[in-house]
Amino acid sequence: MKKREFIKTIGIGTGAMITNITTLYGNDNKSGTSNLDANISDHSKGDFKLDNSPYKKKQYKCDVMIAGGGMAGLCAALAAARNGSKVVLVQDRSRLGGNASSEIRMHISGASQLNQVWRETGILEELVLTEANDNPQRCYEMWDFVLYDKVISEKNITLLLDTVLYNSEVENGQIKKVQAICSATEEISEITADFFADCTGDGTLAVESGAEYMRGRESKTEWGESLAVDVADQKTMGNSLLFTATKWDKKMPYTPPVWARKYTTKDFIHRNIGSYEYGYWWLELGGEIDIVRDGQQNRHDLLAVLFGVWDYIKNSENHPESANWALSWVGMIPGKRESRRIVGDYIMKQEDIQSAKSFYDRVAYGGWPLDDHPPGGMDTTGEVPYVSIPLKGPYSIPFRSLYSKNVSNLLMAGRNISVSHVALSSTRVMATCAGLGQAIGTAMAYCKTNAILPTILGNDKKRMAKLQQILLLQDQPILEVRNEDENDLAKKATLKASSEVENSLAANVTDGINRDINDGNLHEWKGKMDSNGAWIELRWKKPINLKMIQITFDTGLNRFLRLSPQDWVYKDQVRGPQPETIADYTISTVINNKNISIAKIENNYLRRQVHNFEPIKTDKVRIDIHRTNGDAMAKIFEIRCY
Amino acid sequence: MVMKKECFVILTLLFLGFICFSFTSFKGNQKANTDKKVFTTILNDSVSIDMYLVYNVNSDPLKYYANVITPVCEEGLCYIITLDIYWDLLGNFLSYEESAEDPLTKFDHEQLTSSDHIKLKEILSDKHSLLKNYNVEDLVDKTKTIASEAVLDAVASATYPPLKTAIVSGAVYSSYTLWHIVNGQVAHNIKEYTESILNDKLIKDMMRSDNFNQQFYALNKITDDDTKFVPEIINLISNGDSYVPYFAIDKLGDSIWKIPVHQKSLIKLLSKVDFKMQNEILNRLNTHTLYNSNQKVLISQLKILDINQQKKALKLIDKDSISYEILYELSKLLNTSDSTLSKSVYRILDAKGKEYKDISNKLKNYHLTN
Repeated sequence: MKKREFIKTIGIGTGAMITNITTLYGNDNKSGTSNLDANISDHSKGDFKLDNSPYKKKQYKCDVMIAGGGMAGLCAALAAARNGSKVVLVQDRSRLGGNASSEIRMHISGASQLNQVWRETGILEELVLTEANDNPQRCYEMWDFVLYDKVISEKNITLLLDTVLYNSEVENGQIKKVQAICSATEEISEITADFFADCTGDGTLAVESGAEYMRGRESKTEWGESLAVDVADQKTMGNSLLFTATKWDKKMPYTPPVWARKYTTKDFIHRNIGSYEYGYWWLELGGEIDIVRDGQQNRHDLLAVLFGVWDYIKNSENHPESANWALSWVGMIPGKRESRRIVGDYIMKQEDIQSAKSFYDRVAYGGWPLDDHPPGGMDTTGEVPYVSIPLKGPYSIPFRSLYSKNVSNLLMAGRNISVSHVALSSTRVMATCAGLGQAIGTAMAYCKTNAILPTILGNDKKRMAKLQQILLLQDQPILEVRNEDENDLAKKATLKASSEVENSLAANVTDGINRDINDGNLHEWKGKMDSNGAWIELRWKKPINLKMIQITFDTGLNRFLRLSPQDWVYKDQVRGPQPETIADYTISTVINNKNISIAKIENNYLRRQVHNFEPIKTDKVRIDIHRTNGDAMAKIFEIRCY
Repeated sequence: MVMKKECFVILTLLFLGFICFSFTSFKGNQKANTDKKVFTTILNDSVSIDMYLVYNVNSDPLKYYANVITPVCEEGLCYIITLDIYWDLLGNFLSYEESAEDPLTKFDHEQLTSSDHIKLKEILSDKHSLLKNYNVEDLVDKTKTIASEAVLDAVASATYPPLKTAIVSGAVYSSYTLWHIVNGQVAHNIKEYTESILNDKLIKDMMRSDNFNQQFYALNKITDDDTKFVPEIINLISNGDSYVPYFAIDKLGDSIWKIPVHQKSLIKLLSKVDFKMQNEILNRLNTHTLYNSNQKVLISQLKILDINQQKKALKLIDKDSISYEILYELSKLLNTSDSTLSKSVYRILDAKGKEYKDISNKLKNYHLTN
């Protein structure tokens, strides 16, 4: 048994100091892939000491512990890790993605709903572009593995799947340790960290740690919200259980279980059965019970609803065109919209969203309408299943709503942030949650580096401005923040290109704005692709020291881009690489009259590409574009040089 | 700015004067003698609204109206709106009429176009309009303004493109003010007043109206099996607006489905209702025994039904014993061009009608020609 080697590998790879090793889990620091396979194929296979004592404790020490591997949690983990923090990510399921995973199959919604230019950038964009490129077959499990691959490839992350947190130790208002259990491996993980992130959705870690939180619906008078209820109550939006169905070339009869509910036509007056392949967000229940504690009963009731609705479709004779359709997948985990909301230094409200308030500490944005669902769901089919108030544009979310006001090293992202019930009706959707995740992941790394608590950061305008610059550099979806990075050498360069289009000049790549912001101006360079392609060049008056170039491409942020089991969702999407994106390009420089190649990229489909290289001293960098993914123009939003 | 303040003061004085003038000159000027003033609502301590109930020729309550005079102030400019506004018996907005002397205007005194009026009426009819839940200041983009050509220093803010469909461009403030008058306390008071005068006659009138809200409201006021309202309910099953028919049919209890005359009316509805309602009627008939005369009516409707519905309908007829009269009616369908229907009919007649000579002959003919 080469136990020492395991320790060494794990120690380097995860950065987590692990003692009392009982499993082989960890990351290989070279390839970034798990070393689990490598060890199994080792010739020492079978040569290990059997440990028959279940639930042995295993210690982890890290910078950041993240509870919950949904879209918020995994983006938080990736952001923290990429900013240098050692991360332990605890997920209670075998798959990442939460509501977006193949276990629930809710498509990721966000600011694209505004039908403007506001599809979220950042880590989420990287994920959805990768999925669109790698998964043309629209396989949901493949989406899970896009997420898995991203997390497992990050050397600073230790991923604990099937692991459920159940306890935390708090001293002087700070979480010191979290305990989590995995029944499959009979392990108890004890995780010590500087910062903890509650991305559980339910706010489980926050409750366990004594953080102040809100539940239910506040009254109109509480914060003057016109969309709030007249009298405060404990009700919430309900959970939804989804299904998929497939069309066969023969009749597919259906017999429901005896406990399925019975529905008649009038139950669907407000609920449209438009198509059969994916159904239906309005299969919703649970808003009038304890959405957390009554979960077992609610799941069964939702199954009774789901099969009852399918029975209506198949057997009421009102849907004769469903004759050849049959269920192909039925969810077993209800997707949650609302549970607890942890109180931060600031509570976002209806007005903040409608007025699109520009908080000094803005770190992310939302763009989903104020879309509240009455709690009755399928118990009250005579009522509309949602009330949706459109927004005029995206709105900012302040960092002060992303950390607990009384547990000082606890942050949160996802639906459990510091918002009113009304504000939650917009912030709750997953594209927004992913942006929140990236925001707190980056903020935790910043806090760690600067040895400060989140509340110090959130209440310090100067520090917030610095964090915003880091977020923008890393393509965070954030509003009204311009590149003011003094270290960006590209801003000092003179730009020249093979060709330019009116208002889409070469100089736009250093105008400080890395996307279309709907301001009537174009913030990208467009150059015509001729037989030699196109090029753009940066020149400096004096040679500079250069070791990193970051390029931000155009990926059609005006369109929707998301995996969904629903066919119409793909209507305006481009699956595969986005046509606007530059596919093949080279970066080169001239040193001592010699052409030197810095990078050669083929088949790019990502929006943000970072090129690190051995430092060079030069006064000129040229990017040659050889191919786009279909566009007749070469398009670049931003070039940064460091 | 000085200009604007002066303008505001002058207009406010003008407005107050105009209100005094209106109250003395308006009454009896425009409305029929049968209209009855039923209540007065005072909004924000300033705008007083006298509500009249309008009766039809039979002296039954028909709708409400009020002459509304209100100031609207935006960006420092104030003006007065005068409108006759109509509501239904439940306080839902119906329409408005402008006064010829003082029509509605947009920014810079431009009159509303006919499409603006259509849009404004749609907005006022929408109880969930975003005007309800936005602060008016948040509906306009103050960073983008249009200068007034008529008033020095005055500017109007642009509307946000995504919200343009929900507001009348150039008339955001007046739309906003009107929406809150039309759908606010006044609407609540109207409903309360109607509740206070509600009786069976008014419920029936509402069910007979072509107004979805009134139909639905009235339906919810009656109990299942209340035979008083059966004709109105049956009418709503075929003529009710939107989804009212599905709630109407639920109001017919088992006892009503058993009464021959009602059974007949309901079977006759099959030719007037949509596919889903045909299924509803057939499913409900399925749990009852059909009278002979009504079986005949059902047979006469078979051709308009689809295959599955025909099967369901024939099950209602194909009982252990079928009278000659019904078998004879069925035999007429042997010649129908709908071969599925004729085959189904043939099977029933072959099993239960052969003892009758004329039917037996028809069966033979069918056999020969098919």
